[in-house]
Amino acid sequence: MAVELGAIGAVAPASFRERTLSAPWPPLFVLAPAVLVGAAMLLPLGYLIWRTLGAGPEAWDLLARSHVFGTLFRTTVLAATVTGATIAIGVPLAWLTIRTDLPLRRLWAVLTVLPLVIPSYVGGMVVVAALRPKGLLQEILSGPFGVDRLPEIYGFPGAFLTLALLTYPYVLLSTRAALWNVDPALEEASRGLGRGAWTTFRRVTLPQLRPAIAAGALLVALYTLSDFGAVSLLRFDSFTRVIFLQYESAFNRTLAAASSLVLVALALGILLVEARARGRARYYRSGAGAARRPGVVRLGRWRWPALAFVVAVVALALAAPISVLGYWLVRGVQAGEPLRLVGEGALNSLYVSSLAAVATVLAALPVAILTVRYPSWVSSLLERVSYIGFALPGIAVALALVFFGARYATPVYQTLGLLVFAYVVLFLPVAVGALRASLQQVHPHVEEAARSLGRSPLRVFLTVTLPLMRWGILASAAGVFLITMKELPVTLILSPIGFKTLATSTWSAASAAFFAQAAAPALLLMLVSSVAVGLLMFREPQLRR
Amino acid sequence: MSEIAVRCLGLRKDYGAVRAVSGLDLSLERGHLLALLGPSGCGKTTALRLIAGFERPDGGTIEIGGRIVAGPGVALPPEKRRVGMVFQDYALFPHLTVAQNVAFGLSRGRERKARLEEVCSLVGLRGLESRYPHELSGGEQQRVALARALAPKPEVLLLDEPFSNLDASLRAQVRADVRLILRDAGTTTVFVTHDQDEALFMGDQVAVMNDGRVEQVAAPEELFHSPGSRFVAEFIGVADFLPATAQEDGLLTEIGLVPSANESRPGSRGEVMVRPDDIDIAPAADGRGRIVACTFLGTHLVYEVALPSGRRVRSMQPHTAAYAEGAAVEVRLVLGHPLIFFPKDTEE
Repeated sequence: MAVELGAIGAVAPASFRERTLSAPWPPLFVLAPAVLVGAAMLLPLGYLIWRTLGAGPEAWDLLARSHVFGTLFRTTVLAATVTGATIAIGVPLAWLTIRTDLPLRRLWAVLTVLPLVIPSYVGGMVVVAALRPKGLLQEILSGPFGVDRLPEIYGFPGAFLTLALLTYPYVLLSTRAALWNVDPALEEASRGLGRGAWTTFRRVTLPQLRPAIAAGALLVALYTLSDFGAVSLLRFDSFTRVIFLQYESAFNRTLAAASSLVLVALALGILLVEARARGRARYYRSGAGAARRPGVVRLGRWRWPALAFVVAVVALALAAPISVLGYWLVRGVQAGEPLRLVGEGALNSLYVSSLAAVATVLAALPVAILTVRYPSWVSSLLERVSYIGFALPGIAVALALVFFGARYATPVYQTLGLLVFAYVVLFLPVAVGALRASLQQVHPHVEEAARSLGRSPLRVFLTVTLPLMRWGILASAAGVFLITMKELPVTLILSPIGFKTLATSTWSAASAAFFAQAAAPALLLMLVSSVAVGLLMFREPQLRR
Repeated sequence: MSEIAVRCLGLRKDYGAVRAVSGLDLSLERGHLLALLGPSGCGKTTALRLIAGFERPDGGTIEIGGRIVAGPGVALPPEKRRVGMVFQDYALFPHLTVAQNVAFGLSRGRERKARLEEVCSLVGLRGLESRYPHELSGGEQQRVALARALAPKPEVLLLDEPFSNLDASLRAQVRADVRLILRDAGTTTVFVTHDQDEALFMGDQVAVMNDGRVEQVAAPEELFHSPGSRFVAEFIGVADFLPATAQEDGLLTEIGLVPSANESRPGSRGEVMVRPDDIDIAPAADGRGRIVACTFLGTHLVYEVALPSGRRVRSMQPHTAAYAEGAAVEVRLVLGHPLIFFPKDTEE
């Protein structure tokens, strides 16, 4: 699922909407590839549906016997509680790091976002390594304090803790962008009407933040639903883990297909609820331009408790994982763990992620052009189809393509081609989002000027539009590249035999509890991911100055 | 050489149920400058975009340089029409320098460089060729847009509200410069504006548009002094209207019998247009007009006078004529100003 950098779209700067008087029919060099991409996007989901329906009542029997409702319940509870927790952490953090005189505010503004760089399976591994029975924490505590038992970490508590600490930055980022854009005049108007600071926050500021909080919460919920690494390592039976086990153990793959379909339905349900809740209200500032920035709120005696809260979050979500990984890295090196294997994984990761980035951007370009420049029912349909990746958990895409490949496309089965295709399906929304944003910055008048100077549509695209979109293209390629690096379930299931990446090496070492072996690739992944987060934060105006 | 460079016949464009352009007829001689003037939403920009080829007409034909570019079964794309377009926002290519922008529409070859230099000196851009658009002032950007559109020697140049992005102080100067450049280049030009001063200043001909059609095409003076419809009369300059009845010897109005500028059937009823410079007032104790308001315009004053019927007319007076509000005045017509009569029965 493409939630990882989806947050970029959520905080992207508002671009002007060009006036579209009428929609001319798009040229063939845009329409044909866009339709082809749309069809490709539908393939995995279509196949899952076809396969499940094809099995008839048997599928339903299998599902019922697999305690699907229990799984559904557990998954929903996990998604709901993690989402709630991330709002509870992310919203106050956003406010503290944007609007108050918190000590070292800028530093915290950067550090609180950084947990984004930790892939969920690394987070899960850290929690297991530190908190399992006879883990790091117990080792530390058993000496001086004689603690010989820690609360059970496997199951819900571990999964909840891990996911909440890893995903709150999504809520933080979207809320922060919205807070930054709140028109201070509205708050001043409320104060002028005799409302106090708290009432003003609750009745004026918070309602304006609601869409942004909802957008961040949506990302968190979808992330949680589709997460495979953390729940698997922490042995919590949410859908992804159950589906993976069904796929690995059963002879009949119909059950895995049917379960995947239920999971997709759950994700679609969440998207639908969010769309409904968002409603038609608009909360953006009226009028554009460089407006005043809101004033700084003095925390007074709440300064230190607030600081303690921020420090605690950063310690748990960032400092602790890095320390644990560092500890295991040192132990691994001391024990003579071969780092050569990491190099091979890194090269493979680099290679396949570059392929995915190029392929996804190429697929996304016609879709972005069509939806921005040629609005019609065809393009709005394609736009929706291109967002399928948002609702499709990686494991569902991977299984669909495994089944499809094994049956109908044996030549591509077990090849990098199929793997890259899966990445394209998953990450197309990320690429389309960034490309759309940059295309919207190119005013159609510029293209029309080029047309009137005697250039054909294709040449205008190549000589004017494309050069003007270059930063957007670069950003979307970088985005896809970096999420592909971290992606686990699709890589795990669709990689050709013997093809090890950083993600899969980390995973296989971590799931066998070889933490010393997992530490090096995990840290390398985080290092690479911090580039992505750096890019993401560079786009936040409040941090750029 | 009086050859038709642009001709539109029965041009029509609908957006859903909205008819943006409905039955537009225009023709423009080569080398002339036509201003398309009208209130916002009258379809003038759409008309321009139809000529340029950015929109497809739903009916009618467009002819450029004797060639049909749009019509039944014909729809030439913009790049084949030989039109130059200057956009309101200039739409300069931000990734190209001034020289690259201007040369964009020129084909590769020996003449390219010569033409580039020629056009740059024509619009006064020499020395700025290696700058990027964002390094230029608004007026300079405007000249780049103009040079870029002129460079390929288009059959017709189209300007969409070209001066609206400039400061008021700069606008008059740029306007005069552009007019001179276009005269020198001898380019056939259609330009769209909602500013009547601009239209009257720039245009050899002014086409007043209303509701998607052309109300009147005429030279600026003619448009001002003999508007073809009440809409034009109201839109161009300041005008008041008085009920009138046509007679053999003139028009009978509240302020007496006035000479008529146009033929009308005796006995027909309608309205006459009076401009502030048509009306003279003089203080008189038994005067039938009463001053209700006064606007100071620097060199002169405009008094608003209520007539016994309640109708109001405006009168332009030298700044030395100071009358108090509420003063009774005699209202009469300035000699030698025949008035335009709009009969009721031919009105819509």
